[in-house]
Amino acid sequence: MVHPYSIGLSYGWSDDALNEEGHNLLNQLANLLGIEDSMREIFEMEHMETMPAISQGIGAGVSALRSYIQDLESWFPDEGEQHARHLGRSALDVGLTRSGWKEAYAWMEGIGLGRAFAEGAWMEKEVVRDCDLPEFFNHPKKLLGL
Amino acid sequence: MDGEDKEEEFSLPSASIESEDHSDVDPFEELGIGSRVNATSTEEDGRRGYDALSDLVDDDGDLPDSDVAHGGLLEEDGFETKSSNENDVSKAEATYVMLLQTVWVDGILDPAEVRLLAKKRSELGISFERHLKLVDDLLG
Repeated sequence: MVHPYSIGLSYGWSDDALNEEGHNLLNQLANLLGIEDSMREIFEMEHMETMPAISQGIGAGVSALRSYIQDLESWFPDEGEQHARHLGRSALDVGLTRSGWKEAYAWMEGIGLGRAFAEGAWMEKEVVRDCDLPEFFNHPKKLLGL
Repeated sequence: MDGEDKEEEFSLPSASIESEDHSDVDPFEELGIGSRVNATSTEEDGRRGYDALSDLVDDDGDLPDSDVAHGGLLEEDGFETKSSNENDVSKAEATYVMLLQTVWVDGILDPAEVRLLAKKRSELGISFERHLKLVDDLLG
């Protein structure tokens, strides 16, 4: 599962090092996505396992991480639920499979949008579909066959 | 005299008829259970017997009600009411899960099926949160 926080980790640790600003940005990202400390620890441990034991990086990935977070901040807090409902309803329109629902719902739950996604998929609330879904949702879109 | 004789001649039979009428009044018939019942067919007798039996059955059927009626202590403890409500809820959820399984049996849900499920949730009093839990349980 490609979690948005894992993507942030990849950006921040792109040269196998994380500087102080990168560390603060990751805190910011975790807060933005509403990730619990236990989950955050799991994602970080998974990422650490992919890194070499010795690194000569300086945390060069901080600018990409900053850009990623700035983009998220521009829409996620206000429009995240709306997009999640849109995603759910789009999945239903093409046919909601059992595995698609289960995996996409788990992914959306991981970023605090499970409820909104479910409301769209199960037609519990009206869906506004006047805008395109951000690339952020590419992974759940793939899971849903969109 | 002839006139009186004639009157007597004509009055006696009528008095006799009146007395016969009174004596022929069948109290069972007046009560609706008279000779006509006896004259009815075996089928009717059988139906009457069935009615009596159904009355007994009804009495048996009333037993739980009478238990409830006399179960003031149970109701006071909230035992009976709680148990009844739990049964209703579990029945409603079982019905809903069955419908959910049925519409998702082909592995794909479409908007019409989901609309039907939403309507059924409303009818059965199943909350959206409970629906999500039931779906989670269904998918394992």
